[in-house]
Amino acid sequence: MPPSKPLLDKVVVSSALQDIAAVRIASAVAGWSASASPLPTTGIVASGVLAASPIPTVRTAASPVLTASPIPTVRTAASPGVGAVTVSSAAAAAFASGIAARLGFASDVPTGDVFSSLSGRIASALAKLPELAGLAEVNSQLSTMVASMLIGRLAFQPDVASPLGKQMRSITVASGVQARLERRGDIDG
Amino acid sequence: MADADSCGYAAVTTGSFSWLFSDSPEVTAVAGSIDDFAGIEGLLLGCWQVLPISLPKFEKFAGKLHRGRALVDRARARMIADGVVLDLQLRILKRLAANLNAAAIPFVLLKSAAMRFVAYPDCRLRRARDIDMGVAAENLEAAMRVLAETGFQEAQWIEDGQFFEMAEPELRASVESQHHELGFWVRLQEVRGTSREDLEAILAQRNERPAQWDLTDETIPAAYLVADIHHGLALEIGIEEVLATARTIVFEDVVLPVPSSAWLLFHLVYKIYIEGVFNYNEGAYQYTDLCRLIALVSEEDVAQFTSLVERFNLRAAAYYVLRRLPGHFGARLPTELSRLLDDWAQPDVALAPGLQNDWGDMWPKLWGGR
Repeated sequence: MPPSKPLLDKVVVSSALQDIAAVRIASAVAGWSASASPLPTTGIVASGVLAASPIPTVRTAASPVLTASPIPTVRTAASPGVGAVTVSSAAAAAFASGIAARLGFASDVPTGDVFSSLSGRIASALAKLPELAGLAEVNSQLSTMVASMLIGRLAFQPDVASPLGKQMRSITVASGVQARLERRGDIDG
Repeated sequence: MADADSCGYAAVTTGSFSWLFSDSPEVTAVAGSIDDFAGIEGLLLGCWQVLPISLPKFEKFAGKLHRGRALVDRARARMIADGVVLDLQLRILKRLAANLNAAAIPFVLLKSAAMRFVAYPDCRLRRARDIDMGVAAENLEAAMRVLAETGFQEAQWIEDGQFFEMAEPELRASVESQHHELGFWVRLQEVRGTSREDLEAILAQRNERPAQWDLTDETIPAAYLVADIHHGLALEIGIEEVLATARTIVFEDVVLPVPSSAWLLFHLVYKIYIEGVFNYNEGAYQYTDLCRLIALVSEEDVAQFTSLVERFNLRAAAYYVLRRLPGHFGARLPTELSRLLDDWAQPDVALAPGLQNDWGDMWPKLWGGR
């Protein structure tokens, strides 16, 4: 891991967290400075990062239009970002330990199949933060995200050009933590 | 079992099964050979959007064969399950339209969402994954609020897993900043109290692609209802004129705006060509729309369509797409359009093909050939 540089430059939390409160929460949890997203649509972007899912396949629909250019498309493939490599276990552990310490966990972080239990413990810890008062969904999202980091399902993405054209360093959680859609019961509701 | 390979039609002789999509119920003299059977499986299921049209014909052609019977059963399950989705789409469309009207946001149905009402005797004959709508760029934010109020969520599709999940805002923004449509808006709608036949079909087609269902809950299936909001037909073709010239249809007492026939025809020809020429096995089913729409256009519609073709430099596209109608689908072209095809068949040799949006014939690619 590159200790000479910040481990992460940016954090992106899921769209369910589209509230400035989420930035403050992320900051409180991870100790990162926060800023609103400069992107054209919403998004919570704080300094430092973990995208809560692999970069997905994005639909391209019709498009290339009247030029020979390809359909606007974002990289697809499953799994983390382009050129992603798995972070070393030592780096993952160091990163997880840092968050664990902030959450009041011991350094011997649980792993593997204790994910749900860990997520619950983190949720309990987060619930004590004043910023999370009344924000159960945010708590749920964030605890899942942090728990995923703690069990080491991380992929480290080396410097790549961001959609904004600047270099950034990011971490992508490898799998299984992106929020599912809410099921709706009554179609008229 | 469905898999990626079965979605290709490569073994189908180019165009030999176009009769599946024609406006005639007959299995015509140009029916493909039974030797093409391996390919027709992919064609039939790959064009799931028009199974209510193609499946009865296929049954006449091969339904008595052992392999044909199995394929009919598989296709029927898909068709029934998609029919349940369509019923939900139509119900949510009425709510969405009411909410957009209440918010004073002008909109127009696009693509299949409009085509099923305009070109088919029964809108349930035409299935689709999305409810496509056009909204002016300045109204996108307001439209997004309406979508959220109607229970839709910003989503992204995971191809490998065949499911939608919540969208990543940064990634979504990077796509939307370059695109003429918003990212997916999806409402995951549970289906309760459905008939036993429907439920069995929904479960039986669980491996078909693209998945329209979330079956992770063991007891209650849920359908992905997808709204697709366009602020252009393409990067260079805005939506404003389509909105301004829209007409209305009435569906179950709800008034719905649809594009003029000229715009509908233009958009369809554009899609068949662009999607067809840049892909393999993509979009043959859209000829099902074209066969029916072309029979409805007036002389004035043809004149307006021609104007659009000229304005957007799509003579080559119109030529390649429309010339297939009489021979392969038994569809009659309006006289003026037939004359224009003769003109459009001649390229401007002083210009490079790319400058005329001429990427060659999409026809073989529709069927998986070169």
